Amino acid sequence: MNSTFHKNIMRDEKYFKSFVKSIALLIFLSTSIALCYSQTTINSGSSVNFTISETIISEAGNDFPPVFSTSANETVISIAILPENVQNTTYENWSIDIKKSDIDWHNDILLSIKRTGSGTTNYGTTLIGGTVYQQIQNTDNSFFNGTGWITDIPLQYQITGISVTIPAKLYSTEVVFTLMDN
Amino acid sequence: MIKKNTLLIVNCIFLLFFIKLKAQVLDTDQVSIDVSVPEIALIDIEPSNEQITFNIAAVSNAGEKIDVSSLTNNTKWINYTSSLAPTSSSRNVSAQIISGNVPSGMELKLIAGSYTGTGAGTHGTSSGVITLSTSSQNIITNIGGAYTDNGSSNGHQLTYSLNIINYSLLDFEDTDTLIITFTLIDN
Repeated sequence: MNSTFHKNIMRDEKYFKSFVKSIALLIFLSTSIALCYSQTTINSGSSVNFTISETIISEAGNDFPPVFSTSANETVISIAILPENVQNTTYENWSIDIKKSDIDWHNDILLSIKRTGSGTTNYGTTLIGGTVYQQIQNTDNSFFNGTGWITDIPLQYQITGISVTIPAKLYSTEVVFTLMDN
Repeated sequence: MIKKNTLLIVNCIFLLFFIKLKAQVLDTDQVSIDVSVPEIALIDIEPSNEQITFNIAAVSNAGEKIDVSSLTNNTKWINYTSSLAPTSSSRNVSAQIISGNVPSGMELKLIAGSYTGTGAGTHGTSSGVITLSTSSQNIITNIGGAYTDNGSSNGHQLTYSLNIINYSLLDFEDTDTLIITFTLIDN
């Protein structure tokens, strides 16, 4: 009876040690994988200014023009998932989500964005979506997606809803790009 | 031993599979967007600044009253665009004679009608009838951020009326030209 009991304890201990080893290995592997995928970069300009001239309204009675746009490459975004290997440079699937985080904004002002080009790549990558203006919301929405390393993807912004009926002041928001591994 | 290793490998594969299935946030970046909306105050008279003329017809029969019904004009409209800073409360439109004199024995009255048109915002309120003078007087008050739209039939219609107040002072050979200015001013 005692011998059987002792064997059971030994067996349980072995299973426990094996279980702990498994967990430790899993944690090590998952951490390594996470570290690998976290070595990414998105490079873009830090600010965009829509400065509306006082003389843009030339005739009393008129409102501001309905649309203001930036240059076609106001922001360029580059994506590189490290480490550099064929999988990451060419085949790794990713997507860009976009949202805005208002600092001092007016609900009548609608901010939109689109991708105006395909950027530069030395690999057989793909790039899909984002080529028509989409309104940037305060929650994440899919912008475009692709594979591999691509640099200098040009982005253009547009605002509508600017009017003399809203207070004359500086409005600020922050556009947040989120690179997701798909 | 083989079973344990097999279990371990299966676990690892499962974990890897799980990690690949779940989309991960790899990186984020921010771009600040600034929009600067300027203060604007614009006013003009539509359809043009051309003068308006009042001709007082002589009576044909002695003892008749001079017909002043034709001494009104409502062909002019005020258009404005007003963009206000949050610290500014509102704006007014004032009118005053800056040149010339109203003919003796007469007065020139003016009223800005209520806003009408295809603009938007907080349009001003008519101050009612005023008698024009060389002093600045409000004809529209409490204009907020607003635009009237452009051209006749947009904004506030101006109605001038020339009234005889003292027949004894009338001089039928008198001709006067007045210049009236309209100003959009902060309160």
